[in-house]
Amino acid sequence: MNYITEGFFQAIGLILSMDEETWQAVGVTVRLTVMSMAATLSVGLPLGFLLGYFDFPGKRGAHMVVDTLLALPTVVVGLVVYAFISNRGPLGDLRLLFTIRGMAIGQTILALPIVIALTANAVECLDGRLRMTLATLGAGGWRMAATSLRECRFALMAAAVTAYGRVVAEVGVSMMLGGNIKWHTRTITTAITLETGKGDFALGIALGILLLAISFALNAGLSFLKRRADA
Amino acid sequence: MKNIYSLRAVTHSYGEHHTLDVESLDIPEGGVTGLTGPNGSGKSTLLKILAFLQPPRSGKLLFGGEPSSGREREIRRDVTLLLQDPFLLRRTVFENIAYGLKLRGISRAETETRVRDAMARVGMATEDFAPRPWFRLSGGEAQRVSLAVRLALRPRVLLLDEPTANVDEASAILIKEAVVRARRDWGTTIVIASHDLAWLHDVATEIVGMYGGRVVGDGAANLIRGDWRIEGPEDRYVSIMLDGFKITADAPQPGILAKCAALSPSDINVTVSPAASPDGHNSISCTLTQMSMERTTGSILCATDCGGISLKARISPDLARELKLCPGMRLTLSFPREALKFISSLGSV
Repeated sequence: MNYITEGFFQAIGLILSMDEETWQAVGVTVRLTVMSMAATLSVGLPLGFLLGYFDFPGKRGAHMVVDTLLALPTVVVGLVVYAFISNRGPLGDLRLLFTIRGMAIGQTILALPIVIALTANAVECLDGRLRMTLATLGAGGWRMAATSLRECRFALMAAAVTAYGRVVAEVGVSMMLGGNIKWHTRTITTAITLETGKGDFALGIALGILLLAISFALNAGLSFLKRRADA
Repeated sequence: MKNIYSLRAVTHSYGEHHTLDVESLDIPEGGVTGLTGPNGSGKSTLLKILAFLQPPRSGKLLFGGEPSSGREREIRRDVTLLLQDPFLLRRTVFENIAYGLKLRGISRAETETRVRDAMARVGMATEDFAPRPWFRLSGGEAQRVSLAVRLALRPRVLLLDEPTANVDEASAILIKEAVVRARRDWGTTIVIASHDLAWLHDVATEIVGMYGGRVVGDGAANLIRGDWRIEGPEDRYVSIMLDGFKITADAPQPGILAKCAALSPSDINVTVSPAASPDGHNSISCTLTQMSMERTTGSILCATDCGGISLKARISPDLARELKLCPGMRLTLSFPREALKFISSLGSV
């Protein structure tokens, strides 16, 4: 048990001493997450809205596909994207393998079904009287769509937080597409995997604490926004 | 008076279920039209069609004397419907009331004036209620805000679906006053679906009765639903009421089920002393419960309690004076058997 307690205290020391290797992994994680989430939300929210708001032939089929993709294993995404962006792949010329952008593509594919499914669900669960009320107040087309989206803003925040959780915690895609290259594509999760394998619990625990702290800060920010929106 | 709505052979159905079949209906501009009828009679469906929220399955609908087809979006800016269950956006009361004004590109200053005015009309202090979020309102307050949302638009037509059904008494009074003021101040045409007959008789310039998706006269018609059975050698239909008295009717027209019979209040003869009724007449003793002046006909409508069912009889003001009627008096109502007409769920009387 001693090594765990010692590891914990060493971890606090590492964080407080601003250990460069630790903070480098944090920096990569934040950059990667921002890129993945920006891409996921800008594509996922409109697609989820279209899927939930409109009735079209094949809607049920589309729902089933999206719901199935919720269970997409990270290593499968890693494998497929690897095949496309490796030098031999069709997108090999873009030189994306072992770059943060390459990793962001994999993470976006991983998180998109979550945002699409939860957004569609939130829009479908909107009160049936909403559309009628907006129409009778004179709203039409885009205005009605925008107001409907705003009405389910809290559910959309929950979708974003869930997608963030998937992105920030995954190892498979980051490992396969980033290669866990020190100072370059090493993220918090890939670093923890490596350090644990090496038996360096202190760095692993330090990185774990920082990962949770980032998530906590994000959720605290969202909770503050929600309270302001409620008031 | 010009008609703002004219409906001809308008029908509507949800799937296979026919909910509305209006042969002909005109609604005058600037008037207050009341829609009465039991639940499921098609009032709400008719209001949604009048609000251009759902198109009729078939038929012709004129708005302002011109066909409405293709102009729905434009007309929806003039017509607004207050739903029975209040629905507010997840915003403050102010933002809710300002929403429709924003859509119409009304300036910030004018919006503030209109929101203040609309709130005052439903008896809400701006300082207290304007910043409140949607979830900090009682049922009655939410319904009043919903009405204020519509009043701020100063609509040409205001449609109200049971506006006072689920609210406290104080809110109901404020809602009723606000509706009457809207008509007086802006000439708004009002159409109200309500079970509150006393209110409708008080404010409505016209009353339309509905039953089973059809328009059944002027709304004053008595609808007698009972357990109608065939009795006697002449195949008369008889319904025994709670009190034990019998009502006899002729057989319904072919194709119409003997479920609900309509009786026009004008066909009921009112006497004070029990009199032997002529053969073939129904005669019922009852208590006079309420008398109201019918603005539309100038007659007196007497509501009576006949042991479980209420029947309305229409008499002239002269007869009312002659009989010295006042609520609580025992009366005898008589009407010929032929006056009872069975109506189908989806015929006119």
